[in-house]
Amino acid sequence: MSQISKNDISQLDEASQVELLKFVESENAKAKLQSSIHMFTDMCFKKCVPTITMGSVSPAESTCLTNCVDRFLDTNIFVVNKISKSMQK
Amino acid sequence: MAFSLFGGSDKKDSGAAPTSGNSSNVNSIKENLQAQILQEIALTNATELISKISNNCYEKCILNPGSSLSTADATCLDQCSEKYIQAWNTISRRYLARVQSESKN
Repeated sequence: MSQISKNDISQLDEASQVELLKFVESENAKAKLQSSIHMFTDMCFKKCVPTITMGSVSPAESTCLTNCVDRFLDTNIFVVNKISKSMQK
Repeated sequence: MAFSLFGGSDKKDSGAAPTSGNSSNVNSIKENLQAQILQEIALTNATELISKISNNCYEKCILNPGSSLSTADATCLDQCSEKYIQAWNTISRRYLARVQSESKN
């Protein structure tokens, strides 16, 4: 795989460098989201799909999966609030 | 000649005009870098997916490891992989929708 060389980057004018930095930032944010999705899928697949009986997700399983993500995010918010309250005391 | 073995170029020696400031060269460098970054990200994503599917589906499908993958094993792995990818899409949609609505608040 080819590597990104410092020489290449140094040949760019400042406007291009700024554009590239913004690109990297935006792709980085997207990659973090994807990483979260991987984590949630792993966790929720284990919770919602106990056995493999067919090659597609059933409506019940689909509901379980979306509930799983929503409840995890609610849990996260809950815990953040609780911890921040106890830190204020 | 030895210089080229280390990945260097001999643009200086040829007397060619300096490349910085040449806008089409700048654009192609920029596009190359962007393409490389996107490729790295896509590869990371694929690797992660393969790892998760392998782990989850091995656990669910290969309950008594035999001396080879039976047809039943292969069918289960096939179905499990399909399911996992569908689950990934479902969760991706839900999560991104949630993130978008939270950021609007």
